[in-house]
Amino acid sequence: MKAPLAPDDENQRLEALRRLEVLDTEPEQRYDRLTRIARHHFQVPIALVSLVDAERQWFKSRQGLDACETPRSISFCGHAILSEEIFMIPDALEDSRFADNPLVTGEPHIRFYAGAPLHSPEGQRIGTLCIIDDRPRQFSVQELSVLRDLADAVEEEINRTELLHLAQESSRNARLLDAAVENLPVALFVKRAGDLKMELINKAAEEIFGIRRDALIGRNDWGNFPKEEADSFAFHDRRVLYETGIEDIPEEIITTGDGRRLILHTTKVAIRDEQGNPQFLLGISQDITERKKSEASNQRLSHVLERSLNEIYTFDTETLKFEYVNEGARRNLGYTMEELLHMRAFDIKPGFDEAKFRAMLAPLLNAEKDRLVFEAVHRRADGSDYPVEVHLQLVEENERPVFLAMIMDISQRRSLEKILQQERNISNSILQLAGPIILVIDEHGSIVRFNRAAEEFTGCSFDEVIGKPYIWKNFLLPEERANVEKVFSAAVSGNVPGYHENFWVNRHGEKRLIGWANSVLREESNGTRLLITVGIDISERRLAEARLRESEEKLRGLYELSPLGIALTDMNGRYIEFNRAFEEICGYPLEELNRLDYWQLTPEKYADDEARQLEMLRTRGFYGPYEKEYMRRDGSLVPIRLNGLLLEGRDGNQYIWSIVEDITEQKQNRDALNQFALENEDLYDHAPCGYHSIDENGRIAKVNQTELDWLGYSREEMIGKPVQNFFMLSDEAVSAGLKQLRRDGKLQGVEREALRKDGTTFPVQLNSTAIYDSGGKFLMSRSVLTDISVQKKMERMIRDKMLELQTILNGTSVAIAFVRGRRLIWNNRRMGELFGYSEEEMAGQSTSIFYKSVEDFHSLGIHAYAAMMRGEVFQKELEMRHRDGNAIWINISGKAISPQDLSLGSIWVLEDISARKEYENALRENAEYVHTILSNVVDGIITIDEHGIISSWNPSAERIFGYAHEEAIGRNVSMLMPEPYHGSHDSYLRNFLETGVARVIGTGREVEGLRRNGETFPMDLAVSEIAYKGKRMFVGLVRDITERKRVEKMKNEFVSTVSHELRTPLTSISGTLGLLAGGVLGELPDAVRDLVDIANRNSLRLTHLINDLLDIEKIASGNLKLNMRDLELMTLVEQALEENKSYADQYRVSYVLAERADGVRVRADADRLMQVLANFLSNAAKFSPAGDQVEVRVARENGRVRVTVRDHGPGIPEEFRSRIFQKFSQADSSDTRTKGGTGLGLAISRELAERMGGEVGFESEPGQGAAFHVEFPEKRETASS
Amino acid sequence: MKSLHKILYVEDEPGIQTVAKLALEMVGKFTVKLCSSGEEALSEVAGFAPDMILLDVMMPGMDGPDTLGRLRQIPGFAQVPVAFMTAKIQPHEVEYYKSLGAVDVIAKPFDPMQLSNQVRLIWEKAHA
Repeated sequence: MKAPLAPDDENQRLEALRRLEVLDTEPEQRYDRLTRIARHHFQVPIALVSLVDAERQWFKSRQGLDACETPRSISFCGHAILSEEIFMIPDALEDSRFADNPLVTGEPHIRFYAGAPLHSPEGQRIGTLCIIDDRPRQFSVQELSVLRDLADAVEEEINRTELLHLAQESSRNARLLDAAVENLPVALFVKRAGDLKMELINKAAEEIFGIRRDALIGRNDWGNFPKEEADSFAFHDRRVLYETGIEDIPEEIITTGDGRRLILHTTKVAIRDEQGNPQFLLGISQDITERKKSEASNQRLSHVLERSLNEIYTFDTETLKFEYVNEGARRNLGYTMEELLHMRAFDIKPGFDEAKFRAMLAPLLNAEKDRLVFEAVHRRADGSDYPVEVHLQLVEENERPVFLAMIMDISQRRSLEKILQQERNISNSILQLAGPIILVIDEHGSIVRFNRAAEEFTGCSFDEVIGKPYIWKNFLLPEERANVEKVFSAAVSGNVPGYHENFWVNRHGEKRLIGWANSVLREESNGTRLLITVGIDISERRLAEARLRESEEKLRGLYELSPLGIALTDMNGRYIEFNRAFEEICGYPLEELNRLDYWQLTPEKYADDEARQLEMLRTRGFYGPYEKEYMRRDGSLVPIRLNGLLLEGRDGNQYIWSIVEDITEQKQNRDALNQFALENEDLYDHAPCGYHSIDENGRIAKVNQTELDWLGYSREEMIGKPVQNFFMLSDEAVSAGLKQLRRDGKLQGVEREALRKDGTTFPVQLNSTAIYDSGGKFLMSRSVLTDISVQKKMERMIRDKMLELQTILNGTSVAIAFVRGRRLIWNNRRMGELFGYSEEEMAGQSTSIFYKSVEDFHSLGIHAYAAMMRGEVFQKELEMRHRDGNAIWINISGKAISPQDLSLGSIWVLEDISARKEYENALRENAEYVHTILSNVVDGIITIDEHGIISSWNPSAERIFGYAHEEAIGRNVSMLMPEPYHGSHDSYLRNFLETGVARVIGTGREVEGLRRNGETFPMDLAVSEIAYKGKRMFVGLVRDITERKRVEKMKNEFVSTVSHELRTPLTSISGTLGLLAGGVLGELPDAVRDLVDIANRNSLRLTHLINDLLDIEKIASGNLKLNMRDLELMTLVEQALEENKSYADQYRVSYVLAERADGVRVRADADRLMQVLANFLSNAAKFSPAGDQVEVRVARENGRVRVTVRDHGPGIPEEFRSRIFQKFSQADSSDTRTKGGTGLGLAISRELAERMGGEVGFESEPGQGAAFHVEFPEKRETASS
Repeated sequence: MKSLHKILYVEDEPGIQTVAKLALEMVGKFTVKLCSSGEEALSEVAGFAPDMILLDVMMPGMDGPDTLGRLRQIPGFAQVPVAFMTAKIQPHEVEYYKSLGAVDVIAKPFDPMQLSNQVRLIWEKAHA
């Protein structure tokens, strides 16, 4: 089988077929008539009008066939439309294209087919008139011609179909046009050219002109209008028709038939024929009276808009550029108008790009929505963000659409939402408050809570400890671990000790004693036990100096600088004290205000108000806030907001502290907004708060859409209904409210339950003002409603959360309070214990009862709320007041629930630190005592840190170096050192810190210092290292030794000079005598010789005396310098014997070395050791009987070596033994003369021996002689010398 | 080693001049040239050509250390052994003299009988 091909013009063919709208229509007689003729004429069983559609052939008319369509693929007609000729198949079984066609092999068993193509009016072949037989046939030319004729008749019918359609359509169009013209919202009229007779006028024109159309149709003038206007209209008519062709008259003033004055915008157009001759005048007029009026009203409004506190702006629909931005928006955004005019509306919306923004605006532009309300974030010029609610609509401005945006700052609402999300974290945030360590440990010893204090203490973060069983043991001392584990086991088995103490090791490795208050909580969900333990560092007796109380001046300054008026009055209203702001508010200078009392500032109309506030003050201790007015000195009234508290003075009298705020500007803004809201009904309806008005009978007179939405009523359901239907109010409450409103003009801050249509309620706050008519008669109230469900919910939630946490909070040793508006909303048990109040006494109280003075209360408020607003934890130590009037030291910390909205309240933790304060006071006294001492010591005391930075500097240091305290603190200590120390100091310090090798540390030594004036000076420096607050510090003691040095130098010079001056003459004398006695100048006569000997001996004595005196002086002043070496002792002893032999000879005494210790070595100064030995030897010789022997022994014993010189003289008298080594000691003063000597020898010997690390001693029996010895440690190893 | 014969002795104090010169000549058998000031010593030294020089420290005008400094600048006298004879013998003073190039210091008052021995020992030390 062969399916028919599609003709070349298939698309146009199908389009033509569709245009005819004939497919799938009902059978029609005019076609059936023709097919019946065909069937009869050709004697065939089947005749059809077949239309070939895309996939099928559909039969408009069929004779002898039931099917109304067959697939195109098997159709014969599909082939027939491919050619202009009649398509004929004499025998389908003989034709390969059709032999197996189902229409041939099955019903209707086609054998013969002849189809004449049918044409559309455009000439496309859309189908056929065909005849079908079930036997083979052959047609003559004549027969085919008849078929063609019949097909032509069918074609004509088809063409007639389209004409019919056209006629129907044009009649419909004409009707549509008429209806459109008639119903156009603008006036439309048509006048004929030539005679200018009115041809047509629509309904809107009738209405606008105020004239029935019969009175105008057919007339050629505007005679119904006043003459001037009619002339003007006619003038324009002619000019348009014959000159301009079109004219636009933007403002045409007419007087209507019914006497109204209107402003029209009229456009007139000439309608011309093909030759260009005017045929008609078409006029269109639009009533723009209202728009013009509103434009004027807009100008008035624009002022209000500009001043509105809300952000209002417009921007272009195409460019999205700002066109108008009010002052409120400019201020909030921080841009100037110029800057904004270059910006696009999405530029202030972070996260929006142009495409996204345009997509959002689309529904407004497509008129799918008439208003968009969405939340967004706006970014200020300074980069900060704030959340807003945007009300966006498309409005007409200067006859073109612009976007108008009204923006509400919803930071507050946002923060509420945020807080709601944080609901679960509230308990955490309480735990996180500064103060005690809080741990929650589960049965398995794993930490599940670990607050900030714990993190800070241990240096471990919560993440590091969570879920690790018994990790807390790491914080314990090893020796306490077992005990603490016992406590834990007992606790989780239900036997919890209320309190225990143990040590924890903090992050710095210091052990701190912690007192733990324990409680066990059974978790509802799974029944597991949690140990909640709250620890306070009770070893914590910080050395930090207490923060001194704010000075009186500071507070005074605050008081004076406060922009709020603050005044103190007595109960009679007399002013006792007030600040500058207060003077400014009431306009009285200080001296006049002093003589005034409160009542002179208060207009009489507030008498009742004042009475109520005073009553409140008496019963509750505070009053306000409420709004009233003050009479200023110049007679004007200034609106103010007042609140205050009652205070008992030290004299027992009662005083009132009042805070006075000038609210002129706020009121103006509020009034402007109210005015604005009234003038702009739309804004009124869609304001983010509810508005309603109540008439004098307590019935709803007016209500806005927002409130309707909230309550779920339609306007009709509310208007005229008693207000009690919509709020939980008794009839009495309504009449009382109205009464008060009538009298006071307003009713502020009333909280009510609003009642929705569905019976549910929600809390609202109402602010109402009275509206009076011009005669002062009360007309109605106007109330603004704010939905406060969120605040209420928060409050309930926090209370619930607090109650939930009660187990923990009551168990702690710190007081915890939830405060809102500086009133106690909730507190734990400890709070009452701390301040001595019962729960009843504290409930709802102002927290001022806990403060020592109202100044403290205000001062803390100012600082705390400022800190909390920044999201910080406020912390302070201050003296507060117990109920019994005693002061208690409290460490108070507070944190706002939401920094953005302090009205949500704050959480406070109070810790009694009285004991610590006492300790600190004692410490401070001690510190002051120490400080006094340090300030008065002559030594400079300087403390430096690891980097050499000076951190303390006492007055003596100031005096020594010339730097004042503030000049020295924070600078590097190297500034006190001259070169070369200056440059190398840092490396000394670094080296010491790294290696512990001290150049200066710990030793007192002489160094050079550098004064501020550049002078260097000698100083003694002793440095010690201390650990202070975990840091290494160095304390330097500096003593200026300039004076000592000067004296020392003088003394040295003196000693040097004296010895020189003494020695010089002595040199000549002893030299001369020495030469004489030595016989150099020949033998002397015996008598002369004796005399020369005497003189010679005494001159030697004098020499020794001088030498001894110099030695003693050197030793005493520390100037003795020793040249210590390893010495071979025997050599030295032998040398000493040799050198002193001549001396012994004088006494006819001989020295005998009775015992030797060869090779023994000692460490000593050879000259000085020789001096000691010489002293012993000469003494022994001196005191020995003539001819006697002095025995010298050198012996080793127990690692020491001793040289003993023994004589056989008279020995040392008992009474002298104790003084023998003292200066100028001689047993018998006559010895000086008989034996010679200065009495310094032994004293010098002992000093020298001891300085060399040895010692001297003696043994003696009176009459048995004496044995003096000197001994040293033996030097065993061979050392190089 | 060259033996010691000629000693230039500089001393302003006449009493000490006499004693020391006697002791050196009589006991030590040295040839002694006596000068009363540093200036005199500087003018005499070249003509006398001493083997060793003994210098007092405290002298009016040019003192001992000055004299030593100038002597060292005279050609041929850079190496001649010099000892100071002085009563100023505190340790720091002694150190100072030695730092100037003196071989040793003889303390005043001295033992006239031992003086020559002391001088000879110094001479030996200088040539050790």
